[in-house]
Amino acid sequence: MVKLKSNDDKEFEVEEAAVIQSEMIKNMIEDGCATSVIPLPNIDSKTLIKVIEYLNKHINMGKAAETGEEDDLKEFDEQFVNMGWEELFDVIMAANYLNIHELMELCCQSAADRLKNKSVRAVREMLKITNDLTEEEEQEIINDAPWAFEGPEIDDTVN
Amino acid sequence: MEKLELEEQTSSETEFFDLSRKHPVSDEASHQHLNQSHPTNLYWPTEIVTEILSRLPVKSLLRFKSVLKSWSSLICSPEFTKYHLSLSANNNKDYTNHSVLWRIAQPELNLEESLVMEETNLDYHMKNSGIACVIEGSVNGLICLVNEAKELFRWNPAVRKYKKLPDFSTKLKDDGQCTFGFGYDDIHDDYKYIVFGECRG
Repeated sequence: MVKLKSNDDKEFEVEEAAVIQSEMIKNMIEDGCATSVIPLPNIDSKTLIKVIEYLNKHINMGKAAETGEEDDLKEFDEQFVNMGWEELFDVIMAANYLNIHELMELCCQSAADRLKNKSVRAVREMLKITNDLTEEEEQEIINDAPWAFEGPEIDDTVN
Repeated sequence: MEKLELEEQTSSETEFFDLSRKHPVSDEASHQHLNQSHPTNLYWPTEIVTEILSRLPVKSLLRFKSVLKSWSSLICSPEFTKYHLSLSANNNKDYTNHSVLWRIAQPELNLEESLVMEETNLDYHMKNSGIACVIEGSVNGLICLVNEAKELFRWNPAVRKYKKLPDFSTKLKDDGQCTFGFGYDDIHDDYKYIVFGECRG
């Protein structure tokens, strides 16, 4: 078992087989630096719980195909990314820091799928982005490819 | 495979994106804050934004250039273009993005019967010119077109732009046959065109 500590001082015990899906922790264990508790100063307990939930489910991912659990895993992944933007970004930041390739892939793809058909206004509102382009700059980008701003798929709603 | 290749190539100078999400503002308030500096207490590394945006189709990216200045610089950067190309090529295992069906004068051809994922009116530049074009090659989502007047074009259907290439026809015999080659030079990161033909004199 490996002990992880979140930045709000909560400790979690995780099986080594699960935790080594994180390249960062795998390297620490191999280098003998993971003898006691591994502090994770960038991750809060709420996010760490989500990450551990993912690691535990994906523990034997290689075997999933053999045992016919692939669909189950796919369903889990779909449910897993069913979260708000703030939570999703926290998990992405944690996956990036811990270097968990599959989790990073899953969450970034989910983020991309949510943004794909959104209008510019909707993207700014969803991600709380303050526009820093002048009207002229914005118009220039629209004029460069007006067709990219048109189409029945473009969705102006924020959800 | 979609190739996001844009004319302007600005390097990404901004290191971080401002997504001050811990202070969600109401719709009305966000309009008031428009064009004002917004208090930020959280930064998203370029790395993360790159990972997300590189999974989007070209049409979304062309639109999202107008979300934020730093997004525009990122999307236009050659590094991003290359990364996007590598992802879109590798994520498309069934090769559905890998072919362009060419329909100019055969409206009776039923595209639905072939394995078509998406039908788009590409509105290519010589569509209404009455001059026939032939696809002479394609690599990385770029297509080399040659018309009857032996003019060579590099066409990027994903961004719907084309570029006329230097004229070579004056060097060739008028009635001479030509053979074309189009490829990507990995070492110099450049696209090369080869024309075989009979020279004048």
